[in-house]
Amino acid sequence: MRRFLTLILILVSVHGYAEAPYSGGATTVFKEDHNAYSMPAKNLSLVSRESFFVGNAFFTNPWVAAPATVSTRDGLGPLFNANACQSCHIKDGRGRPPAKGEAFASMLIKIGSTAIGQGDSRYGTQFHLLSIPGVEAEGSVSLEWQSYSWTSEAGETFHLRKPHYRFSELKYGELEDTSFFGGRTAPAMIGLGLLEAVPEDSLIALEAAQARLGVSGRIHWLYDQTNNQKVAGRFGWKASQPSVKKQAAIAFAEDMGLTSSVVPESNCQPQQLDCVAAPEGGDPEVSDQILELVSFYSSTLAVPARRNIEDPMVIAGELRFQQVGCNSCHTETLMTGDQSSIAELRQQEIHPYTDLLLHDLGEGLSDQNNEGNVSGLEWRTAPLWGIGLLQAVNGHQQLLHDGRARGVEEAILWHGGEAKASRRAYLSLGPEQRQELLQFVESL
Amino acid sequence: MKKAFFLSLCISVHVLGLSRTGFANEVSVPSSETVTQHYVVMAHAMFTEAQAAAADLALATDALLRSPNEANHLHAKQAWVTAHRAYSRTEVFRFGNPNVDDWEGQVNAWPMDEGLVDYVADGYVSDSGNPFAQKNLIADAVVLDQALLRDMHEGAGAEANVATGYHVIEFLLWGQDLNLTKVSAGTRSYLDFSQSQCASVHCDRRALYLKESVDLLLADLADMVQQWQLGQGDYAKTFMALNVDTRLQRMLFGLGSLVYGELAGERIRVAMLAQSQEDEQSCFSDMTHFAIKENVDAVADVFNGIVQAKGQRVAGPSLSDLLLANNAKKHQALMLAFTKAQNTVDKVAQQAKNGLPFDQQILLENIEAYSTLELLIAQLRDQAILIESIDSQQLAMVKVMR
Repeated sequence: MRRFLTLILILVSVHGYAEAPYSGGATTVFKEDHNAYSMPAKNLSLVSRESFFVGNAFFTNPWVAAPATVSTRDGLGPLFNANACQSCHIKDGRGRPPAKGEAFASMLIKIGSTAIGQGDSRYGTQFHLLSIPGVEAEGSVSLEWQSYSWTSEAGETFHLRKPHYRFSELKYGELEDTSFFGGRTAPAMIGLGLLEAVPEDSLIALEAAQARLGVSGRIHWLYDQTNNQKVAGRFGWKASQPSVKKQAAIAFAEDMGLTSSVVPESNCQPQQLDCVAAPEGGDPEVSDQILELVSFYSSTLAVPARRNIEDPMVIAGELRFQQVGCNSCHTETLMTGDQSSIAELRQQEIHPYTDLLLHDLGEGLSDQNNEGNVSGLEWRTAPLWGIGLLQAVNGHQQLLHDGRARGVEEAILWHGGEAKASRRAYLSLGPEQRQELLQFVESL
Repeated sequence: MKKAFFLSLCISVHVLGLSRTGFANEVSVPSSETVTQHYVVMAHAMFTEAQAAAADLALATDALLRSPNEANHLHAKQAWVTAHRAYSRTEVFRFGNPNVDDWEGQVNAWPMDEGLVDYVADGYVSDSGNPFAQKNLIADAVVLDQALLRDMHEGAGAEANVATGYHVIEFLLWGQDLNLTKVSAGTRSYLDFSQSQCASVHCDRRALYLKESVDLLLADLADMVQQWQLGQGDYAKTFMALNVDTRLQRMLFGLGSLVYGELAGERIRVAMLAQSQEDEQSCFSDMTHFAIKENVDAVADVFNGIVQAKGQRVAGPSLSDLLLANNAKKHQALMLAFTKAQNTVDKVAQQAKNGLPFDQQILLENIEAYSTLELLIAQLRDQAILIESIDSQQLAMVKVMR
């Protein structure tokens, strides 16, 4: 009997240890190559995998201009930034700013305005670089990096970079002087359904717990018209969308010019007459069935497992991460509840390293671009799971909303506002200790 | 303990399920160990078959390049169809086996932005984020060799940049399917390969591309054949070193994933939902029905442990034997599901043969063909549900009696 108990104890402890790399709970996959973000959730049933694969095809294959003779995949544009989800979410991964001489592909430009809070009066809230035949695109934009030297309180100097956007060939008149521009790279697609499955009460509790610690994360409350109630924002750089489906519908509408039952309006501005007059690809252009399938796919991409968790540097780095206080917003562990319509995503212990809350990150990162009642200073804590595989999947490590940070350390250095104390604590570490912390983040 | 697994291939057992109903019965049930071993043997045989068919394709394309004419072009296209059919049967080894999954992308990737490879018609649709969508490697000044093709495959991170594999060769042989008539496939002329009467431009580089891509395919298949060599191949050794339950899990998961998620979903339902010929796998040749049929048949064959290779029947202990001993009722249901889907897929292939290719069968206006495809999807779903419900641990421990 005693031997039996010992065996159970060993099994339990081994089990507990082995769970450490499972960032996405039972959905976690062990994949480290260029397909690391593209796998179906490990625990997805064979029947659910069909929806996953069908959704994947509609995520990947390009949409065409209406009217196409034989295709339900028409209605692109008239103005758009991409003709397929995959164009920006390359390999289901993270976009980046264009290199010198490249066109904008996986990053777009958002337009904000101090005057009306609704974007530019002629161009709206997003600049569209592409258009269908017969309609003029909005113009061209080029990116220049301005070098920016930043010196810490301790006198250490870093050479960072900031984007500057230059517009030309504007087809619908001048941009307003009161308009501001911000680059937005496409975020990675992993684990989104799990983030949606975290109960709202958990976010409220996190908000309250942070307030006691002097961190002022806040839920981006949105109004859900269908159910006439407030709902927590979770997705997008400003947590402006409450669900994967809404986020997908918004991306279809704003980035691809495709209407759906969720967003039935076209993305043309009233004075863009050729845009308004262009034919439509159905009403709506994205059927409910296809929107559901793309949402299902976007909800069930697996989170890849952590790597090198036994490396002493990584173990030490985790302690540094906590010491410095990164984890006061990059929350390690959350539990999903029972509310997900996808059974495989329920009751999972996950390690996303986000609290889904908005935080003031200071003037340095602000592009003065307000979104609803979210100021330019505020950003949703970005999930860190899978970040160490970005190089393998997308061949770059350009982080933050506009890809200005070249690697994890630069991203840390851009953290101002309420993250200032953590940045200071990071800078008080010696070179080896900093390396430990960075190695830990790379193991996620 | 382990010795029990290595008794004879087939051992007579008493089937518990049947005896309870009063039909005491003696059937042959192999141990799960020999079943997994035979799975490796089948994989080796089927990849060998695909390799042989690809070697015939190489002979046919060589002949086309040596003497470009109508007959040689037709023969090369027929050889491609045979080669891709043989390959399609090996897809039963996908999903369960990581070595096949890691390799599959360079061999059978689709859909592709074919403008990467060669000239395309006006109005060609490609991924707007793909910087190589109109690169046209054949018209480019770069040195065309195998290293370049490997390098350009998924170039710039875009999956649509397919530079190697069956569908590149298909595109080179057929050209784009512009649906000139409802039933037409790609209409590339053999003169596209003629050095003296080149129909377009760069016929020399097109010929080179065809040769290099066929050679790469042969190399890839040779690699896979080696990997499955029982007792010697890298993957065969890895696989047989797993515990038997894991092996059975991989086998079942692979069959179930192919039949529903991949085949019914990505290959059939996507095209039906999109109502678009761009969404069929073999869109240049209009030969998609063959890939579908081979998938459906091969799933049943591998489950039953009987495949054909080099004109020979390769038969041995199977999942079917284990399931029959473990759960005769489920076995019967699955056998029925296999038969139903095979009958339906024969209809799909027959309709294509009668002049209604897959890219027309998917159209809502072709009511009968469309509902046949719907029926096939439902039947494949039934198969997947049954396969998923099989408990690999129980199969691994099927009671063996002398």
